Amino acid sequence: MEAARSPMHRLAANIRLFYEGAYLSYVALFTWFAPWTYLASKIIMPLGQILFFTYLGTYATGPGSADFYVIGNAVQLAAISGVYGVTMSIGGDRWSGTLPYLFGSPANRLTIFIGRAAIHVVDGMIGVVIGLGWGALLLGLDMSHTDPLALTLTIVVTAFSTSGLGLMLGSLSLITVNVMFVNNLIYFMLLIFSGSNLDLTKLPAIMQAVSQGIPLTRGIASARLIIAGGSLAEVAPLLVQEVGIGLIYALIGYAMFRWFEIQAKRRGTLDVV
Amino acid sequence: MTGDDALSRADASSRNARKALARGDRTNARRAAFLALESDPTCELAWLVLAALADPPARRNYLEHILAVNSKSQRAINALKVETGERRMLERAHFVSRGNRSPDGVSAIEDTKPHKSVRTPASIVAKGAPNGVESSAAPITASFVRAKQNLVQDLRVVATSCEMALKHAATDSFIIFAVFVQPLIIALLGLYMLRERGGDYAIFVVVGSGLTGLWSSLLFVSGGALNQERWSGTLESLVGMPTSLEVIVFGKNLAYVTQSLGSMVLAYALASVLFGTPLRIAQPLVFLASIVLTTVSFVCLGLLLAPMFVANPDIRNFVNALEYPMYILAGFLFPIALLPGWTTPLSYVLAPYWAAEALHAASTGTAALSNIALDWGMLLVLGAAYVLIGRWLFRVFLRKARQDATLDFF
Repeated sequence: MEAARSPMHRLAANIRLFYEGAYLSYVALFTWFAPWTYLASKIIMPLGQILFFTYLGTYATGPGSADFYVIGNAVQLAAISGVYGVTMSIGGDRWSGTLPYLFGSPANRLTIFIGRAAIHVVDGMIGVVIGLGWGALLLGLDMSHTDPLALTLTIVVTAFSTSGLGLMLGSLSLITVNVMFVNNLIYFMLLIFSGSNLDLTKLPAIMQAVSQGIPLTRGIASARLIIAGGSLAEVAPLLVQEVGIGLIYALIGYAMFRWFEIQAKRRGTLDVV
Repeated sequence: MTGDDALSRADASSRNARKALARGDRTNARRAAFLALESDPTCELAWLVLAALADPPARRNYLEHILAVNSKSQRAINALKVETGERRMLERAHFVSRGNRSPDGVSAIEDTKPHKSVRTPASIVAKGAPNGVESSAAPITASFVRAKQNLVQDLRVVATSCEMALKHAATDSFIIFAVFVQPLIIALLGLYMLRERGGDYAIFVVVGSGLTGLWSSLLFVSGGALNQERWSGTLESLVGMPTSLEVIVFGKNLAYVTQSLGSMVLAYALASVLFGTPLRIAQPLVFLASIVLTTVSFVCLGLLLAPMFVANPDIRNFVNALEYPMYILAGFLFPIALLPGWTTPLSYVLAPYWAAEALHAASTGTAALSNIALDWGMLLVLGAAYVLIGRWLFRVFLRKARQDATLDFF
């Protein structure tokens, strides 16, 4: 018993919990290991989005602006995993009736919470790489001036920050029945406010203010700078801010997660769906 | 034996047959009916008794034969209505066939009067269907009556299905998003992105984003409706109904596509209120006609999609991937001239492309009526093609789903 309580054992137990939670939530959620489903959700749909907005953008402002839309939409793809994936990983427990067991277990809540998002950060990074790959392959995206390390870091940071937003939305999904409505709304609002398809400086001030308060905005700006030949030092402030925004959303999400747990236990509404 | 003797013997035998049927003596009823037909092959009452004794498929043949001999036989027409009618009607027919007294069934075989004909009982009984050269107009009349009855019945099902779908849609947040919110966001994006193009960009965006709503609605909602039935455990019941599944799907599609036209109205309001853009539809009547044809063609396109959802529930995982390709290939918000040349034939076989052409042209007034007429023609032709292919797919996939017993798999 003494050994079981030692810090090393607790750490090992949390790592195991983190790994299993992350892995199982991913497998159970989207069955993305089924090749056709993965192909549709992660490869063809992103290609459709990139092509549509790039053609729309170039129709509006000319073929010279294609890179703007390709990069914007490729990075924005991180939100597929960050918003949909993470939210459904957390909310899925409620719908499948496992939430009471989860909240009844002695497992570390933070480990469970972060574990739900971890693999979606990786998945989001893969999504962005696929998006940029489509851009280079089909739309002539020139990445010859890109600093690979800076771009990798940007992708990691952006995937993390969108997952932070997803954690908050996931906690919200514990108390709302319209989780898909919220997810869809947020995803499409990101298409406007993140700057993936619009020059933010031309938007009204209030919309610019919203843009500065959400994930992705700085990640997309950073990716555009890096692919245009910028250095890591140039985008470092943007990346730091992006991490900060992701952390804020994740912390708000965790606070909500704990608060909902306490309230649900108090009111006996854990399994209300 | 004189002709009058034969007729009176047929009359007596057929009345005996009717009495036997009324008291539930099926064997003697059948025997007396055949006796009557030996004397007079056109004895209507005898045929009606045989129809009442027969199983549904054969019953229809008997009734059609009566109409072939006498196209005005009200009792045969009524009985055929019973045959082709809904379940309540079928139950009545079944009641008669069991020899019980049913008001409708008995009235259908009362007060009969033999009709003369040169047809032989052998040819009639052997083929079980009308075959008379001398009454060639009668089968056409019977077919017309049957077609009319089927059409009325199908329209009633379409209306009911449409009403139920609308009620469901009003409370489903996913549908509300797909039909109204998403097109509105795309409209907002389009208005900001295309603002620099000037000209009629606003009405172009309003129409284009509305079309994205129509397509997304058709793809997610109409397609998902069958999976919804599957999850609710009602798909098997729908498939087992006398009404064909495509008629029910048509009603659902009509509801969702018509409803999603509201997205165009919302986009119009957004553009005029938020952006303060003066919006004018250059050819309102042509635009209205284009809207009607667009709706019809989209509903028909839905008939092409639905069987795939029946065949494979996993197709729902693929619908996300089909949304943007249609936006692109149909040229909802930019001309397809921007796309590589090899994609043009793909656009041409898509009704949404012709719908976009017609609606953009009518709203901006940038095309002659003859060009728009071509778009209308293509909408009609493609709509008809979708219906024909859709019916075939329904038949094939439903048969396969029945054979594999996978209707309730999800």
